[in-house]
Amino acid sequence: MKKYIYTNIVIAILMLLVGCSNENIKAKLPPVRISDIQINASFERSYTFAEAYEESDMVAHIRIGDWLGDGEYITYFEAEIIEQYKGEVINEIVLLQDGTTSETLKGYPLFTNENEMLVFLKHAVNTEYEDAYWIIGAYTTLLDVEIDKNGNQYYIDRYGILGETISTSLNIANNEELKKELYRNAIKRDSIVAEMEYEYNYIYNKTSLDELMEGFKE
Amino acid sequence: MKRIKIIPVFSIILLFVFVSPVYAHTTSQIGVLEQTYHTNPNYQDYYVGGEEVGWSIDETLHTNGTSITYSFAITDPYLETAYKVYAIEGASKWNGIVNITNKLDGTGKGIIKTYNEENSGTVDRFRGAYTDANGHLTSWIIEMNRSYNVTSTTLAHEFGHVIGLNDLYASKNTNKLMYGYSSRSVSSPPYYRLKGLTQYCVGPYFAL
Ligand SMILES: [Zn+2]
Ligand SMILES: [Zn+2]
Repeated sequence: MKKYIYTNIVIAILMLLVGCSNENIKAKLPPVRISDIQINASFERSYTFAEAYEESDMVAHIRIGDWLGDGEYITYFEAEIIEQYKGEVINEIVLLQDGTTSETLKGYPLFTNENEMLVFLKHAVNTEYEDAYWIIGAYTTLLDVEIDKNGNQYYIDRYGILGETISTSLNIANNEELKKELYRNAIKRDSIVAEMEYEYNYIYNKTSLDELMEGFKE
Repeated sequence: MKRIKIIPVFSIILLFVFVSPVYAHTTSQIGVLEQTYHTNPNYQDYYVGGEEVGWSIDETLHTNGTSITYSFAITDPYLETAYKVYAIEGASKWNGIVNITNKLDGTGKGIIKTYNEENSGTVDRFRGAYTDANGHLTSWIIEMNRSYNVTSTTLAHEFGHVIGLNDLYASKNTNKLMYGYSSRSVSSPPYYRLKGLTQYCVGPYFAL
């Protein structure tokens, strides 16, 4: 009997220690990601995948780091560049997202640590941050990056807006098993996905869109 | 017996370690389009629309009735005449569907103002919307981004949100006022009546 108690206590202490050390290195997260009152934003224009690429200063697969805080209308995040397709070569940027912790855009929760996305960016002006970029079409030009059990990477358009402009022959969302797996993984990565009404109707092999973007360079 | 007592303690520690405080909000958006709070059986055929039909109603946030009032923000020094004209003209595009009135004494339910954000693709925004328990608007704000070309059409679109219409993004809805981009190919709401929606609380709804 004592053995069980002892083992449990040791495990508990170990877990507490792990918990604490995690706490220390924990990224700074936005305190609110979906506000009570939300914004309907009208955008200047729509973009096809090709136009989004063409008209961006930078195109990159990024990973969100710390939440840096709210501006008046936008939120600032640190973002690490995982792979860059266009623009000035750089390792880290400050990413601007439309909406703040007090008012977020409808269907567009604030990003959080570890979110990975393909984004189309314009260099920000008149900000307190250097190397600051904003997403040209907000959620209308945004693809999530997700991985399957074999480590293959995919781009997912959870909004289905940019995906509408990509050749349907590249869309592999009809693979129901894969769709479910990637959706599960996305929820594991970021539980807020489960709260939203996203559909995963636009899924692409990362390599196929990489090739497409390679073609845009010429 | 002793072992049984340990398990709850251990569970509590586990909970403490693993339950992260990330859940800031639990609002679920699931089912917004499928369900309706109008539980009156007469309304059971109600359909709140979607991209496929070219109109979509926000049942949790809309105007009750056919009368909308607004006032211009008195605290906004950038709200020049040109912006006010966009609002007045945008409102008049809804004539015959809903009555949108400018309250000069500042008592309008909605406030119209400007803002400036260069680092965003947003032209204008419908925000600050409060509702009663039925989802009926009690106050709201329309903001025009001075960094972009605002027009009477973009304002008519924003008034569509006040009425209770959602944005549309599918390319086939480019020809709808509620298309979410300024590149929409129409400048006012079309005037044909939607079958089955005449009893909806905003009065006759129209395909937009
Ligand atoms: Zn809108
Ligand atoms: Zn109602």
